[in-house]
Amino acid sequence: MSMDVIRSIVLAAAVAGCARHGSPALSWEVKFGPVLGNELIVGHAIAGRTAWLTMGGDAIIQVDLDSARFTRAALHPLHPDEHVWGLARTNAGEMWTLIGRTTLAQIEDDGGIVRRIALDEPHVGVFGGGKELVFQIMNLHPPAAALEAGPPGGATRHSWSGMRIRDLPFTRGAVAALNLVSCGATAGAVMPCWFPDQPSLTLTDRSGASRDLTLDGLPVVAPELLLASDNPRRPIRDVLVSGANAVWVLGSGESPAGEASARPGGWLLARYDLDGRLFRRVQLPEPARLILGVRDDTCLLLAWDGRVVEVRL
Amino acid sequence: MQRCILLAIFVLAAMSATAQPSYASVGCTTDLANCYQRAAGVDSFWYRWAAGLDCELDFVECARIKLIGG
Repeated sequence: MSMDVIRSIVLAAAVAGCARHGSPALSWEVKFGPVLGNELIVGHAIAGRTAWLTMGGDAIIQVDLDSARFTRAALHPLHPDEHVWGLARTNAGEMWTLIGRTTLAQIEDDGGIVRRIALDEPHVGVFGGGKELVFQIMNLHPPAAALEAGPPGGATRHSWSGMRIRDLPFTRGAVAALNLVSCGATAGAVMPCWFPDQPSLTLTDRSGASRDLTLDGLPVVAPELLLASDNPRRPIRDVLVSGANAVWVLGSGESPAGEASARPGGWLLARYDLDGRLFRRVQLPEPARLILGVRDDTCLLLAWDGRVVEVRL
Repeated sequence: MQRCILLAIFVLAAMSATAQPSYASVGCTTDLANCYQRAAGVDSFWYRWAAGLDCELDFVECARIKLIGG
């Protein structure tokens, strides 16, 4: 065998090895579903291998990821002009949502509303924060603390996390919209929260102490474009922190050329460590709406059409 | 006269929110402008102020669906 042939074989092997390392094939395995239709998701909570989703149509969907079973129940009783937003689950297993701006409601798996608590101020978000709930109050006067925590019915609340609503050069309503906070699920030591226009997270631990984490590889989106679009490209759509403290991020990313924007969800899935180091970043073959669960290097996503899909990363 | 001035302020505020290019979210923004216009027609000063605040809350709830809805 001549040296040229050997060189060619070595070169081809090196190129193939590099190609595998740079763009390994992505597994995309449909597990079950669809668990929902083309409808708005207004909140979600995850505990172990179970996920709960609250829907814009005032329903709750429970998804058991291991048994591939799911149930749907209408929230009741609700007045015709009452609608839910958000979903928070405490360590004790209680689930809470907002009904309108000034009512906090405890709900059961069967959709029954078992307790209502009147709130003094308009609220725009509620999240599970361990033993307590984490609230976002509508605040039209930045800068101020973005979140506060407390028991559901308690009068005493305390500021939680270092997130502060930002003073931005827009009208008051637009600033309030851009200061809306999302928080992802966690099985780890910290809870991830973020603003809609930022490619970074605020990670808050059980004591309420927090730190900011900028995530490489996520697009920066101009706030005015975010407000302008009907289907805005959000740097971060959902986050889940695993028990091993891996940070899984679903972002809008870039849709493939020619892809119509009719399919809801994000195209970018990335995995980081708690220091923001990127482990891997992939373009999904179909858009996904939420991260439902993580185990080791596999992730269960809620795909755009409501199917539950397993992705290995 | 006072009502006209308030109406102008509300409309200008709404216009400044739509001054960015290609505002496709005309739903939320148009609703806001219409709401401001209705609020400007309220006789009582305090009720007019409260109605304007409600307009902004409505806008935030409308934008919330696009910005953080799943």
